[in-house]
Amino acid sequence: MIVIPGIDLESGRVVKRVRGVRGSGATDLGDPAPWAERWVRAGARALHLVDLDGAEGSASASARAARSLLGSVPIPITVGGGVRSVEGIEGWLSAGADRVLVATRFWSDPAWREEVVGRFGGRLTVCLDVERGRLRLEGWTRDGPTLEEALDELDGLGVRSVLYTEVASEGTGRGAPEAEVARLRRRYAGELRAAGGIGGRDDLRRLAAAGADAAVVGHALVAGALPESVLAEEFR
Amino acid sequence: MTVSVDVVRTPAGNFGRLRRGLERAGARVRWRRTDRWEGRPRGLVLAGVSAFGTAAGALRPGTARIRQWANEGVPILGICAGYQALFEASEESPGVRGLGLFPGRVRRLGSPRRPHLGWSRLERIRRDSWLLREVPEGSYVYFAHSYRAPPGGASRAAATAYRGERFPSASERGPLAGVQFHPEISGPTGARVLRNFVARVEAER
Repeated sequence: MIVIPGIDLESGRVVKRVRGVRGSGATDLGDPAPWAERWVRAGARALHLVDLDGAEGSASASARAARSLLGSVPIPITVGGGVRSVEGIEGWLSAGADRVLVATRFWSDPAWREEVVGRFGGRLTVCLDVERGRLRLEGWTRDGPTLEEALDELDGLGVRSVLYTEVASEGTGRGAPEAEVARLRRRYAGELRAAGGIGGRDDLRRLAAAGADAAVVGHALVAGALPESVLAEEFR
Repeated sequence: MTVSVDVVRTPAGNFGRLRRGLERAGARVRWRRTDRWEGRPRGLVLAGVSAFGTAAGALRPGTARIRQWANEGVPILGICAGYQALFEASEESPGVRGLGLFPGRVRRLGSPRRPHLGWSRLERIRRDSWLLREVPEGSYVYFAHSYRAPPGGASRAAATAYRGERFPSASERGPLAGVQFHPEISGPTGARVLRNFVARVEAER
């Protein structure tokens, strides 16, 4: 399992929210470019970017900051946040994104779900942002299907990559969702990324043992709970 | 002293990171169209993110010249679909001819889990490879492809395995080289490959 550093962008700046609540946590950690540069130097094998302005439905300086990173950072980049159209996916891919995150429309619109999997297949990572057994949608403001229902859908679709995020512990460092990841691993054969609550090395080892392929880490890296050297490691 | 490298790109795709990677490696990048050459390039990169037919098609007006330059010793680096375009043909686009600078026909990956997207190892790196100089055996590089080069014979510079299928991931013959992976997003290893290419361009002057 590899560790992917996660950058959340708000008004073009790096932020680290707690449980996704606007204004919580670290509200300005600066320009994303120096963070990305440090992590590339440390050996990061991918970068995970979320445009929080997009996730809440507004046009953004964050999208511009993300495009600038896509034109310069020499590792694969996953981008997401408010992507709810085919054009939105194409836009990120043609800007240089290697993967695009989809969530809200994917889980609300079955016809769109089939269309985008058919068209973009392996270039999508489907978000499973879960709180108390249910998916959270629209910037984590509304309930979606249950995780079980979502997994039933995934089975037949041919989705190549999912990201499981434990909404309740996102930005807290209070422990990784290894039990949920282990359960997901038994149901889903594709690439499995996990996020939320990762606070230290033990969490990474537990997630790796549970079968995650990648851990997306934000808070623990920017807060210094994890050294940047984990970015070059392979956890088993 | 920076050396200039000409890059031919397909119409689709974003090449910002390739430009930055070549610049960091010490090159000045000039975008080129194959229907309007201005003189002989010092070094030539064939970048491609799309299908073999698109990549080979984008090169077509310049096919004869590219072959001539390859024979004259201009360092050439093909990347991904640009690498595949160096072969004779591809299963992906029957009837479209490649540059034929490497022998054989590009074929589809055997695994139904296509495309191969992600980090994989470079193995069996040829000791005398100039492109992979100082790239340690087993280094990880980033791939995004559904088709693969034919078994390389003498020109193979490295191999990679995806789901049990081994294919050439780098080829080299004199100053002609190609890589299936994307050096511009392969971190420090990819940066090393681009530096090696630019160094070869400098050495050929």
